[in-house]
Amino acid sequence: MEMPGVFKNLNIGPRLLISFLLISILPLAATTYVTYRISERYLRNNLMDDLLAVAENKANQIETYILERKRNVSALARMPSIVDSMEKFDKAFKTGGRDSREFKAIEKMVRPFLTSFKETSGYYDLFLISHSGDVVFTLNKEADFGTNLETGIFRDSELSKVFDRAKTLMETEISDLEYYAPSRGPAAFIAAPVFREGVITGVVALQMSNKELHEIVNDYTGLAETGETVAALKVGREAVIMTPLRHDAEAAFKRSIPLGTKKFIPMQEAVQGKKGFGTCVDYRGEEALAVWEYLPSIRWGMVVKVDTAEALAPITRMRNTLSVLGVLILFPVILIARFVAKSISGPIRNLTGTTELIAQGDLSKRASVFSKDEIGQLSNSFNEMTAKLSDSYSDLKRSAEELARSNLKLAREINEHERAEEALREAQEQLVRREKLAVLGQLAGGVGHELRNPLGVIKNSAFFLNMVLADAPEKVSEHLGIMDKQIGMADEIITNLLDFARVKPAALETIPVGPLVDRAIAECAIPHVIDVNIDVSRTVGPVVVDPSQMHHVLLNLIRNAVQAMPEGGRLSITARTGNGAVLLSVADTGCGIPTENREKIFEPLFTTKAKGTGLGMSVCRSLVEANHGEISVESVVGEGATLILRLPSK
Amino acid sequence: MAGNSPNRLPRGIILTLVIIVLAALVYYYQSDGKRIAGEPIKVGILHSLTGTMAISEASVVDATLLAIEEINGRGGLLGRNIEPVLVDGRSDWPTFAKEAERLITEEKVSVVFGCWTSASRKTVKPVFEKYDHLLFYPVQYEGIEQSPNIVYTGAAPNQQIIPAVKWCFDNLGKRFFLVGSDYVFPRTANAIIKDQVAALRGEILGEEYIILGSKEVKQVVGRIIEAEPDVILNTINGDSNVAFFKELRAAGISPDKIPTMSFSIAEDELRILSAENMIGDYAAWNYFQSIQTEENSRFVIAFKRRYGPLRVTDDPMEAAYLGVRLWAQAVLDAGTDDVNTVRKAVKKQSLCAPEGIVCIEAENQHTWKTVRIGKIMRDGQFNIVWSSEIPIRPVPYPVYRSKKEWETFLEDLYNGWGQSWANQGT
Repeated sequence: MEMPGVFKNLNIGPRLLISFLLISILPLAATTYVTYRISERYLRNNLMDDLLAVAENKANQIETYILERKRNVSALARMPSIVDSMEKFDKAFKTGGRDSREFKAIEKMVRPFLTSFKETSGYYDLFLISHSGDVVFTLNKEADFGTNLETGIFRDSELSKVFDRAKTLMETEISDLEYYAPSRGPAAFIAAPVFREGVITGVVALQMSNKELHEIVNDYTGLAETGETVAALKVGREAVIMTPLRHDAEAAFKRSIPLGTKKFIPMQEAVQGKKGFGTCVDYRGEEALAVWEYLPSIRWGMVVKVDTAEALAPITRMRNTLSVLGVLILFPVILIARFVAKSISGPIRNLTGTTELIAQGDLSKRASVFSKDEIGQLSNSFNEMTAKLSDSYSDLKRSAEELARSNLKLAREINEHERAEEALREAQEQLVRREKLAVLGQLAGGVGHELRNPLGVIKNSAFFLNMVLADAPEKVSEHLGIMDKQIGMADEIITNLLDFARVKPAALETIPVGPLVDRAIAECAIPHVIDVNIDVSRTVGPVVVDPSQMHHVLLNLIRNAVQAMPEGGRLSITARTGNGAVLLSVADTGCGIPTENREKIFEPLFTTKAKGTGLGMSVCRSLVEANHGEISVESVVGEGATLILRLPSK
Repeated sequence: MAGNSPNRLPRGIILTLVIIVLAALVYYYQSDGKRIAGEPIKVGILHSLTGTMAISEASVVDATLLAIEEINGRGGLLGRNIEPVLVDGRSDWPTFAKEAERLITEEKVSVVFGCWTSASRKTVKPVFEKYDHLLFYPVQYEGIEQSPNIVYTGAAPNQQIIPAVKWCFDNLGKRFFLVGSDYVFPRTANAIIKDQVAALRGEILGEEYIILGSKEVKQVVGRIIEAEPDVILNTINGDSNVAFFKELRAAGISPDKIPTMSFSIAEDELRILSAENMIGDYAAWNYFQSIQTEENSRFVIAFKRRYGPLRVTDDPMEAAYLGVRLWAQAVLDAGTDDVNTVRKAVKKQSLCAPEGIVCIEAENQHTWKTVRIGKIMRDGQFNIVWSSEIPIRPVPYPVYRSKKEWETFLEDLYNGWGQSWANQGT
């Protein structure tokens, strides 16, 4: 079964409260209800049984009373004195009438006995009726005396009817209790045939006193405060109440229940021969438990009843007690439910609060443990979990730091690796360049060598011509001069080519730097527009180089510098000691070298000069490298260039 | 998924709860006396549907069935339907006994409604006593019997025979001629009548019997003509009555000359006997169709609606009808159809029957009944000429002889007929 959504969405507190109430109140209510119903039924059944017993007892009492009366009258009818009197009275009545002497004589004789019978048996009156219906004698001598019951004015009376039945049925009969005019009140009669030798000579009738029947009916034993027996006779379409009622002493013959209506239905049923029991509304309009039946011997409907309110009072009390008890129990149940709900939801709420704090990042928080139950265990587990989480978090942090460090190292290694790769690539490039230079050298060497001989021949020839033609026209001398000059230039180019091609192994010597510089300066024709500034410190130690080769290099560098400053400038030559070497720089204040050309100037055949061979710097480099040195250039375009030699020192 | 989620109650628990609650409810209401409609209540109907008695008994069966149908129509008894088991006694007493035993032992009926003739009743009585069962007997009879296993809803002698004779004595004359079928009822009835007439100082001019079912009536009618009685007291049963009255009228005896008081002729028999011949004759019963009460008109209308407008109701039919209703009332009171419980509950039952209030006398299981004397009219109905107006207490043993004397009388009859309750005519 899916829990109802509303219930499911409730907090634990209310949910527990509701559950508690359901668990405690519902079974309690159900049990109480069933107990109440069972008790009520039990009580009702018991009451009904009691009422049935009372009713049966009452019916038996009435029946016995009637039977006893009938036997009493039957016995009287068989008494010889009655049998005699019957005949005598009949005869006297018929012959002389009620006032005759004979009649009075008989009366005088039997009256004491009849009176005493009437008195002792509790009757109201006694009648002797002849077979033909003449009321030949009565003790009270009311209006009925002397009349004929078959033809006289009382022919429709109950006395007449009971006489007819007794005569025809030849049995002792009892009449209904009805208003009897001669007595001016309700009356019932018991009539018994009087036999003489088997032949009916008349009927003896006794008028009952209602007192005794009233006493039986109005005996309320076993009927509590409100219970009573109601007796009624069906007269026409009405049930006429026969005896005084407990709640209406004047009811006899005055009160009646019309048949076919909704009034006091048990009585309507009882007078019509139906028996039953159950709840009903009585003649007062009160609800009552009732048992009803028909009493055939007297033809009464009898209802024995007791007010429901009184009869069920114990049950009402029980219901009230149970209701109060239920309400009283409700309070502690609510309190206990609240307590238990709190004892469960409190720690959970606490735990939830802690969880939220931890979720926000405070791993140092711990839940409070209030108990050793499941929630206590949960809190413990939660705390353990948080502790482990905290530990794990620290470990993680350490690992992260280590990782960062490793990363950094790795980056460095990669960097180094890249640099090594760069160096390798440079070495490779140098190798390639050398290879290229080697090839170029061979070619240049070859070409130079082949050109030098013819050029020597040309030079000799020119020299000869010059000598021969010393006074030749100016024009010829001029051309001879140009020729000589050009031959000198070609020879220089070839020398350069050959130098380039054939770098001789350096003949290393330890020499001081100063003289080396001075010699080179001296060899150069430096125009006067150029300031020369030589700064060679005394502390600069000697260098280990081939003096000739280094001279060639310096010469070359100085010439280049001078050429870079055709407009004039300053030539600075500086020597410094650094890092086990000597740094010798030649700086000019010329136009400088663009960045893209800075490496290319060391490559063969590269020149920016109109008449350069492009080999000078290349040769310089080869020479410096042959001397285990290095050459590099620094320049700011427009300000000048500085060529730096790094030479091994002693 | 069910049963796994903590938010669901396992189906098993719910089922168990539902079963427990239902069981509690069923227990509660069971013990509350409310029963669940169950098997039908079987009741036996044991009457002659063939043979000489069929003329009277078939209609009694109809009335019995009407009462059952009415009860079933109102929802049955204790929520159960009444199922009638109808068997034919074939106007043959051993057959009655055999069928009674079969109804009790094989059909397992809760009660038997049946018998007309005293011969058949006396034959089945030991059967009902042997099995401690229950028979509702619907016909007036001679009395001198009382069995805890039989409820007599017809008249005892003090509710029919004795008042009728006294009434004749007072109103018709003192010289009687007795004629009857030769079996236990007429013989016993006449014994009572003879005692009574003797007591009244009347005269019995003759007493004649014819074999049950026989049409040999000439001799009897001859004797009546010879005797010239004031009144003929007729206890002939079955279709012999047809022959008897034909012969009587043929001999010139009409009711205005010698009236007949019959004890076994009612409205239903008059349909066949031709009322023409019998206008002015008398019958003594507790019930006549002509009774003017609400209950009676309801009964008559219901009967005619069920069986046709030409059908009539009469005393034994009404006694059978009220018998079923008394039994049903007892079953309701007892809360069960158990024979022994119902037997106890049936005592002191009373109801408003078509004839008036009737009531079972606890002492002898006979019925308080109103006594009536009717005069036959042209239309086959009775004009009620005398009524006790109130129910009379049943006295099965007439006071003229002691119980012992009566029982000896019956024993002699039984033995005289060769261990039978009727003259077999051999």
